[in-house]
Amino acid sequence: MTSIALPQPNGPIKRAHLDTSVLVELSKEEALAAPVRLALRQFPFTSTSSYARKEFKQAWLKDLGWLHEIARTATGQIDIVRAINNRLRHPIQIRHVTRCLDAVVRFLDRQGGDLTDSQWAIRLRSHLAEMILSAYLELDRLVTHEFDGTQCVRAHERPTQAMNGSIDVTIPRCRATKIRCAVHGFFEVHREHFRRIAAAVDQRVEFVRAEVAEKARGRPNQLEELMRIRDTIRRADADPTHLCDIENCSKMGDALIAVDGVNDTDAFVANNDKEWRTLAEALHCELINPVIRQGRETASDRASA
Amino acid sequence: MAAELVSASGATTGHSPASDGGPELGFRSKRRSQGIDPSVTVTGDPTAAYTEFRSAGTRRSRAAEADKGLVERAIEILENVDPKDGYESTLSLGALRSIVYQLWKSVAECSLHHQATLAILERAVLSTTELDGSRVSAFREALIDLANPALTDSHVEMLRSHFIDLRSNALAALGDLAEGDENDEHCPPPT
Repeated sequence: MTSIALPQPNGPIKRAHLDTSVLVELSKEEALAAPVRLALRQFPFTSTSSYARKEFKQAWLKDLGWLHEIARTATGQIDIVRAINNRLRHPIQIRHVTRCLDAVVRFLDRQGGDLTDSQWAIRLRSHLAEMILSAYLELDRLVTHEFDGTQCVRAHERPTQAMNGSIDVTIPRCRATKIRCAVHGFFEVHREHFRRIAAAVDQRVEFVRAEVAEKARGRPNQLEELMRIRDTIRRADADPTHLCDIENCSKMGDALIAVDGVNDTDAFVANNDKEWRTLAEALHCELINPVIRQGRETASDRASA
Repeated sequence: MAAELVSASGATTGHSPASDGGPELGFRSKRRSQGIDPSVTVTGDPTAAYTEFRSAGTRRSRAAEADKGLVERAIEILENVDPKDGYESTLSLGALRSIVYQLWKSVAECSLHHQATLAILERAVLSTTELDGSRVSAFREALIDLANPALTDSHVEMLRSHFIDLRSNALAALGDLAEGDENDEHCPPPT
């Protein structure tokens, strides 16, 4: 845990602003969600950004939706694995979808048995559908308030199930030629905050480069995302409508989420320290990571260790 | 039979509020109550439009039925469970998990609503470590719904909402995620 502020019995109401990663943890099994709930107990007011909802959908629900679509026509697990290998090209996609499938199958295999392949596929499909359809409903209840500074239209599109059982979790591409959100106006209003983030990333890059040179061992991916955030901020500083393309706003999602709640929070709560430590420093907020598990650190933890 | 199979969440489904003794609602009121804008003009045959509205708003399923013997057995177990008795509670939960699993054999032939109901129930049963009064009651409600041959969207939505309130978390199945970039939010979309 990065830090836990002591409760103030007679002080003002403490407020926490949650990143997507923490919303995902809260949606997992209660054994994993409980430590996060415990850390949040000191905050009567918890918030997130509607943009986190879009990230949640993009990072998790789309993969689950893809697996669901495959499982609708599959006759067994072999069919699904074959589809992953045949239809997906990008190694990150394959890894992400495979990890989701493995986790769900392990969960369902807690009760081993003798279902036929088609019954197994129906069971998997039904669980995937329920995960997707329950997730948005659950998100509504995880925090006390959701800021909507960016007015992200994709965040507000809930997954829907058609009569034939298929589920729509698509996120159509937004383009600067057809603006449907307010991310450009949001950037202009909070330009100073974003500039502070870009400057903090510069400092962090300098620090890590010096450290890497000193220790003669590099971590090439450690700063990749932070630098992507900084570069996108610089582009948007010149032309805020640059962010109205979904490819670009996605590159600085963490910064958008942080700035959306910065004026109304005492602490950021996030699982991915490597980006949020810099964001919290830049915006003068406390950072809490309640997710570091015994004997199982995340890739982000390792990178920022 | 351990319990009369009447769901607490609306039971003999498919009944309109009027048929249940509730106030009679006009078409526009019904549309409004379903979250559909009544000011939207429907062109063409009004009867066809009403049929379409009913199927979209309260679509119901009548297909093969869940194995009633298993459902009754599960309800019987739940009615006899003592949440304070850890020994009995563990045995009951184990038996319940087996029954829920066995139910897939019959429910695989049932409607999407039945499959959704069983998935909601199974997720909760698999991620529960201790039975308490509220869970026992919720599991029983789900089982009663399963035995209902005519489930509707409303049943499933109410059940989903109820189980989320009981912290049957949506992504419980992702708890055992292998190590990797858990926050890989910039993964290109699957094609």
